[in-house]
Amino acid sequence: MNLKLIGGAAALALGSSLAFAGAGAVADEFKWMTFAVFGAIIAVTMYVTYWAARQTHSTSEFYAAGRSVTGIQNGWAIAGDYLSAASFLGIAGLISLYGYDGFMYSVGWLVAYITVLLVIAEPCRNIGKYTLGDILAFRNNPKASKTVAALSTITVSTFYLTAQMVGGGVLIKTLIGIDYHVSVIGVGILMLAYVVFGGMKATTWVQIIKAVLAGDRFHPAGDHHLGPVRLQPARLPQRRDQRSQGASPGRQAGG
Amino acid sequence: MSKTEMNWAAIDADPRFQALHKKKLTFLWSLMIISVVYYFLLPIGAAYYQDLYKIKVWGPVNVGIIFALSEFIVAWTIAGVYAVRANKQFDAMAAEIINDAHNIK
Repeated sequence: MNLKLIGGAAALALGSSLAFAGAGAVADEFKWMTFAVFGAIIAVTMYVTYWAARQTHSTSEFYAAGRSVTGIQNGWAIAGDYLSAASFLGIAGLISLYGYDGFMYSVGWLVAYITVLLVIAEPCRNIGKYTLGDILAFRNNPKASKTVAALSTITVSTFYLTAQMVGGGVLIKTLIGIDYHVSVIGVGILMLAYVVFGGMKATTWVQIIKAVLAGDRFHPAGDHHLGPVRLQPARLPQRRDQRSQGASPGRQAGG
Repeated sequence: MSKTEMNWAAIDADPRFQALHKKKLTFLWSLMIISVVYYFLLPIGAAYYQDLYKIKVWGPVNVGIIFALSEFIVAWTIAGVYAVRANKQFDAMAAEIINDAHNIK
């Protein structure tokens, strides 16, 4: 079924790029096409969310997709993260406004992934917690570290989501012609729906679909990116032996 | 395997664990330093070595653009090197300790 989904999504991408070709803003007689593409993508991703929600019963399933996401799936999902509205619209805009300076900005994000890979990912997996806040709380004063983690998450998410939602709203307004404020609120509701109902399984699959669509230019709600949440070990497939279950509270093998 | 049977302090003191830990720490941080240094060459070069970055290589493509694109290649390479090393060496070393964990007293 997943293959079918991806196949369908790819067909949609083709269709939507055709629709996009003539569009600075889409001519009125073609608006139904962009509307249909948006609608179809929302329908597909909502179905994925429904499918994921039906399988999600426990904390581990909600936050870590039951540790069942494979490396390849995760890779696609992370690629989907990288192709967010902020990077697609933002980087294109930065390059057009500032040239090489804008280009350098896009490289910075890439290097951040290396930091996550080398310094953060493995300790995360070894400790077997879901969020960076949990990991800090594991060894430090739980109340203080969770407060700090929550504050920084909200701060980063606020700035990040503002850009994402403005991007989504502007796109919908440009392509379909729905009022900007309505678009932004709609995008926000969709983001919430993916995450709240579907948990990590839905967000992972929505991101995979997004990556396959080669970016969310056409995905009004592909921006449910929660910033720091991406650092959680849910992104890292657990070994079958679940060695982290017996992780020592002392120093981790992960270094 | 229940947690109470584990002697964590002994495992921590085990020379194999110490070797794994040290090896990993050195390896991860060397890669980290390489990637950070390589990344910062980009803004530093763009700021202070513009003559170098401006050299045209092919059509409008200059050294600066190629260097920026090379950041992607380097990042993928680092990820690949990490994956190979972790899968081949570190996982094997860790598995050895885990299999023996109950005997370490």
